[in-house]
Amino acid sequence: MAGIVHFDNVGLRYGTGAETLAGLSFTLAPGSFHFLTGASGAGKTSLINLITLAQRPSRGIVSLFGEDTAGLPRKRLPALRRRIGVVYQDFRLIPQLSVFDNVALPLRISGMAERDIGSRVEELLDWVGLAPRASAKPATLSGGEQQRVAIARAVITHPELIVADEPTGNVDPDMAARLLHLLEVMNRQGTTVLIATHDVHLLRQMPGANIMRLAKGRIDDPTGSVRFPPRESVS
Amino acid sequence: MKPRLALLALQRQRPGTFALLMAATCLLMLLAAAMALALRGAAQQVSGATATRLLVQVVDANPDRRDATADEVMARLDRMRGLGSAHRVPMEQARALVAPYMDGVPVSELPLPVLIELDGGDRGRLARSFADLPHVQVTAAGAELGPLIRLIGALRGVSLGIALTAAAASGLIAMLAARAALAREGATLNILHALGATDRQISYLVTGKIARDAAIGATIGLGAALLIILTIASRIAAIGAGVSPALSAGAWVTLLLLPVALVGLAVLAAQGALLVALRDAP
Repeated sequence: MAGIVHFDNVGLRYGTGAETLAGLSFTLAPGSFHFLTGASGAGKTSLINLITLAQRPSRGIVSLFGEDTAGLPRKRLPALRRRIGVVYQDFRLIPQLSVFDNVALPLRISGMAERDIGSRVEELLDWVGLAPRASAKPATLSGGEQQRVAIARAVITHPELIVADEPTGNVDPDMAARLLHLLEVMNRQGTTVLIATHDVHLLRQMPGANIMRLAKGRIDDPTGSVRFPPRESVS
Repeated sequence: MKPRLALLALQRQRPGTFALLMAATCLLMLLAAAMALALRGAAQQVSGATATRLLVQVVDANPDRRDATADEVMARLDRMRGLGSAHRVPMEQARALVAPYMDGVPVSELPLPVLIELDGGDRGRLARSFADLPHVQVTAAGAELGPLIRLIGALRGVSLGIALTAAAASGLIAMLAARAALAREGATLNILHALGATDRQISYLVTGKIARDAAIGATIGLGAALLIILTIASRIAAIGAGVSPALSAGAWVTLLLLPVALVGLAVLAAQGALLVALRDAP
C-alpha cells in the first residue's frame, strides 16, 4: 500500500520478553497529520523508534517512502533518515555544540554549503524565539528552550516526514501553539506529521487530525480515522 | 560535514594517552629503524670492501724457499690477465701486526707467511694456477668476515622486527583508541546516526581526532628519536679509527617519512575498526 509510512502486522519484542508492539498495521498517507496517543508504557516511543529506523521490527513489514526497510542495505539507511525529522522526548541535543550548531547539524550532515546554512538557521531560530541564544550551549537553556531547539533541528531540512515525541511537553501553552502552528504550516506544504502526545490541549488545537491510540502495544484504531473531538466511538 | 569537524567535542579534546603512546611507539620504531639502516650500511661497507679481495699466503718455515715461492707467485700474477692489483705485504709490516700479541717474544725469528693481497680475480682459477707450488694458499679476504657479516644481518633483522612490531602496536593502539572513542561518544554518535549521518561521516569524526593525536605523538617521537640518533652518531664519530656513524641521505629520508607512514597506519587501523564496530549500530 502506498504511503509515507506503512506498517504491516509489525511486532517488536525486546529480548525474550513479551511483545511491546504487536500486530501493528497502518499507513500514514503523504501530507497527512496524525496524533499518536496512549498511556505511558503503551509503546509510543517504541513505535517512533521503528519509524525513525532506530530499531528493527521483530516481525512484520515496515515500509518508509515505499521501501521495505527490512531488505535495505545498511548504507541506504542514512538517506532514508535524512527524509525524516525527529523530535525526541529527551531532546537529544549535542551538549558541546551551540544552539546554532545543533540546529545546523542536519544541514551539515546532508552536505549543504556553509554559506547557505547561516541564514536558514538564523531564520528558524528567530521563528522559535531563540535567535538571541544562538551561541548558547544546551545545558544553559531551559527545558522549553531545548525543546524548541530540538524542533528547529527536526524541521530545518524540510523533511518529508516529521515524527515528534511529546514535542510540547516542556513549553508554555503559547509556545506550544506556536510550535504546533509551525508543524501545521509544514503539513500544509506537504510534510507528513506524526506527533506522539498526552496533551489533550494539543489535540484540541488540531481538530480533524487523525488519531492513533496505542494501548498495550496495539493500535485501537488501525484505520487512523478517529478524530478529536471524537465523532464516534471506536472499540 | 568535514569543514565543521572541529565543532564536535571529541575533536576538541586535548591530546591524551593515545598521543603519548604514539610518541613512545614512534620513538621505538625510529630507533629500531635507524639501527637497521645503519647496520645495513655497515654490512654493505664490510662486504663491499672485502668481496673482491683475495689473499695469497705462502706458508713455509724455510725463509729462503718461502721467499722464492713468493717471488714465483708474484711473477705469475704479473702475467695473469683480469687481475686488479697485487700487493705483497712487507714482512716488517706483518711482523708489526703480530708483535703486540707476542708479549715481548721477538718476532723476527717467527716463520710468518708471506701475504699477497689481490684486488679482483677468481679464487678457483688462482688456486689452480698455483697448484704446483707447495705451501701456497689462496683465500677470500672476506671469508673471515663472514660470521661478522651474518651477525650484522641478524641484528638488522632483529631491528627491523622491532620496528615492525612498534608499527603494528601503533595500529592496535589506534584501533583501541577508536573503539574507546566510540564507546565514550556513543550518545553523540547515535544522534548523528539518527540525523542521517553515514558510518563514514561518523568514522571521519573519530579518525580526525585520532589523526591529530597520532600526528602530535609522532612528532614528539620523531624529535626524541632524532635527538638520540644524533647523540649516538656523535659519540661513534668521536671514536674515530674509521668507524663511520653516517646514515645515508636515503636513510634519513626514510626515517623522516616513517612517522608519516605511522600516522597513516594509525588512521587506517582506526577507520577499519570503526567501520566494523558501526555495523552493529542501528
